[in-house]
Amino acid sequence: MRILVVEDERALRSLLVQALREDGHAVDWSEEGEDALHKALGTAYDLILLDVMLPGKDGWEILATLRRERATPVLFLTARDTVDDRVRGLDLGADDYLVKPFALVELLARVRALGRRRQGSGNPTIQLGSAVIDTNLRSVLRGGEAVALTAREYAILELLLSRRGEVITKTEIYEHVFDEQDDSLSNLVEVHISHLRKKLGKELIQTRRGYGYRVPAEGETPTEADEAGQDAP
Amino acid sequence: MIGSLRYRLLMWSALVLIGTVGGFAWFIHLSVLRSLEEELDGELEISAAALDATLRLFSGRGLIEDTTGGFGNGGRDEWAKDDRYPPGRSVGMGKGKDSKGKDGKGKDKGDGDFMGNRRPPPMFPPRVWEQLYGELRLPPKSRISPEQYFGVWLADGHLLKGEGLPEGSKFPELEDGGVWFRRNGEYRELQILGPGRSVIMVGTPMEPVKRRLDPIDRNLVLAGLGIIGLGLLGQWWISRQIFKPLRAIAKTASGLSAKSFGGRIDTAKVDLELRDLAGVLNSTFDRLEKAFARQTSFTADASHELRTPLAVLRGQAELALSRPRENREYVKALQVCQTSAERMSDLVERLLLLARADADFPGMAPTLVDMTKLVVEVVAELPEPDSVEVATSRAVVWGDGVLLRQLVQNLVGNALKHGGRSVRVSIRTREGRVILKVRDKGPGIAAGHLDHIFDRFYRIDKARARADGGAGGTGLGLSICREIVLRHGGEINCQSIVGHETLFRVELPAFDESVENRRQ
Repeated sequence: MRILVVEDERALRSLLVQALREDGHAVDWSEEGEDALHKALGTAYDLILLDVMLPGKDGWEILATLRRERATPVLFLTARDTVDDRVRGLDLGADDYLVKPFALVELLARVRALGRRRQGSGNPTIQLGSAVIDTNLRSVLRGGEAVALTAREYAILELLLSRRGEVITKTEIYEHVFDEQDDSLSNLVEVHISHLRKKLGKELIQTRRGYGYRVPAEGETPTEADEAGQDAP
Repeated sequence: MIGSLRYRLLMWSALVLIGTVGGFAWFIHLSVLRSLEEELDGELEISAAALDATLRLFSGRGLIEDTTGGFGNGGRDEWAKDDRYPPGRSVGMGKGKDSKGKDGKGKDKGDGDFMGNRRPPPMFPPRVWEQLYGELRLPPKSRISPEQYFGVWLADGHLLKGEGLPEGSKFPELEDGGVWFRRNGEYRELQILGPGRSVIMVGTPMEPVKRRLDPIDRNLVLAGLGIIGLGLLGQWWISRQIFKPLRAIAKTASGLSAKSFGGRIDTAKVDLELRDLAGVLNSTFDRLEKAFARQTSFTADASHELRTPLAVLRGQAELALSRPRENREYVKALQVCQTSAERMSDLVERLLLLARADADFPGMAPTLVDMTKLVVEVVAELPEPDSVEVATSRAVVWGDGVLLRQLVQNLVGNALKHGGRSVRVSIRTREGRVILKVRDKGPGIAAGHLDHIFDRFYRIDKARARADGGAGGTGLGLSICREIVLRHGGEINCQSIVGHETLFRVELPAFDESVENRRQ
């Protein structure tokens, strides 16, 4: 998932960025309200981690402005834990609320849960052909055997699964899987896709030349697409 | 009950009521008694005058003369010596009278035992005596004293006629011609001097007066009790009215708590006398509410401030342990933890200092503090002492050296943080005040912030404070400064021109060395 972390406390911010990246997400960050809003409006993030107390614009303002244009899920991070604060955040359209200090594992779990909710499925295990993907463990089984995927490969698979049956463009994949610090080499997506095909089976990821990639919708029989096996659309 | 103000009020008003009503009733009682006695005396005078007139009729015939010679008492002397009212002259044996009802007395009167005494004096021809004896009688119709008695004595003490005289009646002693009223036990008696120094005594029992007075007294007592009762009832009602607003105030006050400080006493509805009290209470409630609010927000802010470094500490440790890492990464994680821990302990130190300030710095140890030396020392301890320009003259205060050092450190540190290298500190004494000025050429503080910079946890630029990390980034430094200055009886203020300079000015009472020198 592509995540924006907005936190002005440097130590906490770099900690969050590192933890999320290690969990396989593409992470951008911002330490100031105006900049954060600009980024949140300009990029289709899968999730925004938002600190309430910020210089410039505070978390409430950012959320209120953002909600007028985008429905990006927002997880509030705050040291204020009164009921009023929580209610206010949720009423403004926050999707979840985490009070500092928090356990890192809990934060990561909530991030994953918000990702699942976005896919419209609360079920952490997904069946794709002969492969079973466990979104909690971030593991893939194929015919009962574990398949080793890199964080990037898994992220791309998760993105494709989040909109099963739909064609997802390469640009979208870039946007959701790579953060602004990654070098967007033009063939990076193709490389990852080809690795995924090798590991999971060619028929599972279909190429729509000129558009992008898709995985078959649930119940759809995986068929060799026209250009299956070729890496470039 | 004794502890109740209302009860005491009732008791006092009862006492006052009983005193006034009782006094008034007593006065009425005495007035009526007096007027009855005057009336009685009038009747006695009339009777005496009548007897006197009868005697004078006979004295014209030369029958009643003073045979004792001159004005002296002659024969009377012998009993006068024994006793003032010797019993020997008592006349009638009037036994019936002793056991008397009025009727019995009436029956005895004139006849009975007195018959034995009915002997004429030597000079009286019997016929004249009979006549005189018959004529000597009381006039009819006495209103108050229908039971009068009388006695007429000749100058030598011979009882000419006695009628109804009570037992123990004796020849009255009269010093000179005059009219004598006296009380003789249950009786009131009038004695006058008749012709030839004869003595006429008319008396009457006081009982009819009492009889007439009794119903009046009874009515007075009843009316008095009624008035007292009504008065107390009124007082009870009044005290209820008086305490009603107090009860309302108590109700309002008891409705207040740390959670809801909304209620106030409606001073418009409170009586004039209680308005001051209500006003004082309301302002106390206001102060309490503010203090509670301050305390609550202080606690919330403190926990908020502690939570962020705590989140870093916890998260960093968790992250570092989440998978095997290289040593380099562990070192970095531990460094982050250390910074956070330092920041937290700094924050805790400051919070404790503020808590101590709120408790008036217990254990504050005032001594003579040479502020000049202190300023020089603080600047010398800076990492770059040359960046601060110092101007000093002699300045001594009476105070706590540790706290004052903290004050100077905070102010200088603050100026350095915002003013870069152009910081100037000056200290001097002027008109009994030690004046410390810390000036920096920093970005300045906007007017809107100036009012708040001494508030706890107030930060003008939160981002910068956070980026700086440790000391001074807590938003507590200036509030600590203010507490220290206030505790030393001084003042602190801040002036600033945005984009130009900021000046913190501290005034402390100077230690008066001349006084101390003279003392030594």
